[in-house]
Amino acid sequence: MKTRDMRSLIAGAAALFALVSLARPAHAQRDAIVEGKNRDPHAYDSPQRFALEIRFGLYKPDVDSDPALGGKTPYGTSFGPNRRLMTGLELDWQVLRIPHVGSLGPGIGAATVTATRPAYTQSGTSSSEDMSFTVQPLSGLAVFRLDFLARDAGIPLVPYAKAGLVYALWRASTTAGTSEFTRTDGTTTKGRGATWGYSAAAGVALDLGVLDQRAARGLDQAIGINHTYIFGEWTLSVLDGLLGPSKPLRVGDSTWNAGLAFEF
Amino acid sequence: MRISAVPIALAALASAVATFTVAPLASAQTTAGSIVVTVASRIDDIRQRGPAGTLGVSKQDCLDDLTLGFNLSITGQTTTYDLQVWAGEGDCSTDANRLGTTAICKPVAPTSRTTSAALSVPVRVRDLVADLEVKPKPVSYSAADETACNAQSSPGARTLSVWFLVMNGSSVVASASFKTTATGATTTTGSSAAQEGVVVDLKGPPAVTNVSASSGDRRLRLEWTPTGDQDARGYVFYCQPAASAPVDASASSSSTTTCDAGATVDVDAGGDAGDAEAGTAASGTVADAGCTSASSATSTGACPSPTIGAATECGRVLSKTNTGFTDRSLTNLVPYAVAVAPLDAFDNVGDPASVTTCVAPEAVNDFWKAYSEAGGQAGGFCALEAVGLPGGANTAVLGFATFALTLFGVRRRAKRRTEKNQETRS
Repeated sequence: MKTRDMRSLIAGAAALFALVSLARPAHAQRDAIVEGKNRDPHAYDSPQRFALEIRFGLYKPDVDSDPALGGKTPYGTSFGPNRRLMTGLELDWQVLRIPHVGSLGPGIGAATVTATRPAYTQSGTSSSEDMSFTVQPLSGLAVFRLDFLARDAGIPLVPYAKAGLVYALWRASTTAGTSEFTRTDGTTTKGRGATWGYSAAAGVALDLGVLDQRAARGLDQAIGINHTYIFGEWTLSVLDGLLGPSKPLRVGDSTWNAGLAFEF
Repeated sequence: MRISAVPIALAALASAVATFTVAPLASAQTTAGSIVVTVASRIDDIRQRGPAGTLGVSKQDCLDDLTLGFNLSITGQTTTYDLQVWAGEGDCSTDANRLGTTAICKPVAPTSRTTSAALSVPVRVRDLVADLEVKPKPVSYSAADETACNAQSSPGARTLSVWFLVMNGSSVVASASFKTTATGATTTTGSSAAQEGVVVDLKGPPAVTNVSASSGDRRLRLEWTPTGDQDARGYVFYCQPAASAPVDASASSSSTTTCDAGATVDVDAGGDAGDAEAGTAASGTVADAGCTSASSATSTGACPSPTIGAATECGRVLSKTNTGFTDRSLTNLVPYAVAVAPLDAFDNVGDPASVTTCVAPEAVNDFWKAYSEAGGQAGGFCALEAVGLPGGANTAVLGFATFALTLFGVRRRAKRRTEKNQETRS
């Protein structure tokens, strides 16, 4: 390793150590505020430990990117080019608060998206049956929210980043139930399973408290919601069998999400 | 079913009571007190029909020749008397409703001459419903046959009061009518909430229109235009391979069901009604391998009507919908004659309406097949069995939301405690 790289590494480690040293659990910081040692403008805010996101996005699983398909596009042929609405929830635990920087902690998420279209008979005529494909990604994430702008600078924007593992359940079905396919060797595969992968996301949240600070404060005092955000986020999901199975169904996507977030 | 074979539990469910007290008989044969006729319970296999508490008889009950049984107790009557049972859409204890040109009641059981104070009176459903539309009603009893089951001319439920009359010659000396409670489960006496008599419905709703069918995998999807009849509570589907469906003898010309690949079903309108055409094509197997595009194949000719009966029933829906699927029990690539018949609250099946074009079910090409045929190797991964089901996602999101709300509630309580502590300190 070059000397320059080594210096950079040491400098980075020192910075990280300093950052973590400064970081304290949220309740410790809260105690300081309660005792009046800090003239924090947020002194009368209720404690904040969690964030809940209700999210929506347009999703199209990249099934057709599988090299095994040889360029064929069974998903696109079956369901067309349009993305489908994905809805989801995410709960983050802001276990660490880094003063004048932001919060860091784990989060879990669940979402679902389904594409449905009428199936065709084998002779090519329109069928009365529907065919569907459902993907349900379950994620475990590390979430970092850079909220010093909102807390210290009065700018109601909170950039954030997330990364983590995803376990995506999926199911292909018709109105009759889970699809099945019998191969020429006689084996039958059912149209359901799961694919491992990872995801990374970056976004920015707008604190809606800026629109009506009195209402925001009242919401906090009444039911303990510290902040309400509207957010936009770009998400990359690479779901191609990171941890198995060996022949995965690719169901990841790179897409935009938006929604509401509540910190409490 | 005979009275003795009826379960006791059903008897309890159908129990009913009604009393009617009259003045003592003028003749010396009466006791000093009043005569009371009590319909203590009803023992039969009359079925729960329609809304809770509605007990009645349907056409099938009539065809099955069911017998209703009424248990009576007579007090205050110590000598021989005649017991008559009358039924009609009114008060049968009055002479005007039983006799003459305005009679709306008729006897529904033979007159019994007895001294018994407790007796069971059987009433056949056929006797009850016979002459339903006749006016004036006959004044003497005669046993009805199966034709009585067709007595009703228009759809809808009718309520027949059943009256038990203690007679002295031609004079009514005591009477009681049969009532049930709203739930049919307990007895009552003259309750205003009681159902009077027996509800009779022998005729199903009118036929639907515009029946059409489309292919599915081993089933068909049916659509129709309901008639808007409020009596309908569902629809019954009938399916029969077109080759074995009966021919309408009244049809003026033959109809042909043709498959593209050459499988042809000839149906001769001049053939014997109720039988499939004995010709080669009709008696042959329509599941001809060449009939690969049956739904379009059959679009060129008229389609016979299926036989209506339990053997050809292929599904039902119990809602006032205008679409439904048959059972997934049909054979792919076989053209079917299909009919839809409305069903009323008494399980009477109305007139069927058939599709004009025979349709064959056919396997479908779905995404999974397209993926697998394209070379995709995924699938069958042994995750949790419930994984991937659409219900699983809903459950997961619901559980997630519940967890989040619980957490929020806990946090809110904790914050309140903190605020309280702050107030205490200050």
